[in-house]
Amino acid sequence: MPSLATPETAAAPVSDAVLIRRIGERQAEALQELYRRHAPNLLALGKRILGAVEDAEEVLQEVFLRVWQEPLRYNPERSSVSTWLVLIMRSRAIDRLRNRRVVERAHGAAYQEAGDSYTSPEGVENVLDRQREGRVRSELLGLPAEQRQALEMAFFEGLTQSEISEKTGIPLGTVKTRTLLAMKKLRKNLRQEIRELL
Amino acid sequence: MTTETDSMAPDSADPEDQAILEALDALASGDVSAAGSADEALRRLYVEVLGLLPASLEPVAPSDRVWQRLAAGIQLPALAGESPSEAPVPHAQIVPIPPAPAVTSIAPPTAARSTTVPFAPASGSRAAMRRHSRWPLALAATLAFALAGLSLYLLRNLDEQSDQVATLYVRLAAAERKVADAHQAQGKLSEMEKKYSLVTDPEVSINRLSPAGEQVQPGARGILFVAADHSHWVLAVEGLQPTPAGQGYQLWFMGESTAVSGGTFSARPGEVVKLSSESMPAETKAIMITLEPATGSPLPSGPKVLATVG
Repeated sequence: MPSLATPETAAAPVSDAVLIRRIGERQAEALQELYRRHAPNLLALGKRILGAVEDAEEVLQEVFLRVWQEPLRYNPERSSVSTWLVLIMRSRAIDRLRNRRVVERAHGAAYQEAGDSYTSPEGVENVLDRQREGRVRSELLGLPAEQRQALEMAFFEGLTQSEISEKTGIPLGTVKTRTLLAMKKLRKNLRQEIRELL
Repeated sequence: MTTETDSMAPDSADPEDQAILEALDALASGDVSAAGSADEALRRLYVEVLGLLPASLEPVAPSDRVWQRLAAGIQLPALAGESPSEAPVPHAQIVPIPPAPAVTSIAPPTAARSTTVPFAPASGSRAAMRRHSRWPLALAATLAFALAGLSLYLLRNLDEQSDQVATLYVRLAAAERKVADAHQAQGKLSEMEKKYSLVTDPEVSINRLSPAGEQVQPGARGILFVAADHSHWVLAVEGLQPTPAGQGYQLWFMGESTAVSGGTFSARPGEVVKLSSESMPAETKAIMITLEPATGSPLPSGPKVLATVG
């Protein structure tokens, strides 16, 4: 119960987890702040999966609508807020991609792969975030090409290990081994970044 | 939806592999809440690895219409026109944990660097001389191999310890969250106990608030509890209509000829607004609630909504 004599200071720095709690208390400003912090990275993920920014923006809107409607689904024991958002965004984008593939297959249309060129957002100047992006990118690029391919196909294309094996013609066991190795290397080399998320 | 484990049934009992598989399961289902059999902390670390992958992409700024549609969809007209990028709130400061100290090179034992003492050949035998002169070399080579082995062992050990530190860190973070939650719950409980003891005190004075003024809200009502010390109070209000954009309800303590603001608040349908404080202006004779600008007003200026009866 808020005491009128001691109003909460609006300018105090807040963590993502606190923003989620405030969203649970129906504070729209908290949703706005969470959106400001994470929307550019989530949109980049959506664009990487779906190709078209317009589609990715629709998914982004759905994700934040879900966050507003069901903030209590977030469990701090299981993941950081940013990872939770990434998993929701990815899951919804992959669902949309699969639906689109079904529709395109039905119409005999060719599926257009996601492009590799990205637009930098205006006004994104968070140095910490930029450093993290640089390190993650560098670690991903530092993986042996075949390991990176296995991981990227699983993460960005939503393919199962069997599907990757079928698509690439590589034995299933090899695909699994490559994915496991890639994950272990990333975990080892991104220790600092992971700690920052906890 | 096919999950990763459909095709990635664990071939080994390696707990790390198991943790990765379960993290990939979470990836496939988009839900990290399902419990698994792998070590929780290890699994969490791999979930976070997956969560970091999009950071390898260049961020893309969403167009303003995304937020506008979102704000309209959740009925936030006041925020619909306000792009989130215009009003940044600082991030919580992240204090990076210093990396574990790197293993410094181990100085070779002095024996390996000791100068060779000139050896006097016995009875001039050259073969014996050669045999003797090989000993220091053999010793040095053995020591070098031993050092290399020791370094490898230490590096491996360091890796394992780093892993342990990482998993312990996850557990520590979880424990800290639980402690913080417990403190918060304790604070709330203590506050509730105070209010409970106030409203159940036989000497508490109870005042009803009823609709008043020209813009009557028939369903609105409230009840004010004032402690015997005439200072602590609790107010519960319900049935108020949601305020128009840019406006808020403001509480007033009315004296003979004074009005002291008790702060502003908003109302949502079906919710009981509860307010409390440990101080009330001494000269208070009545209280009322008016509709004012959301930022508050120095004196009552808007329409009266609720007021104490009598």
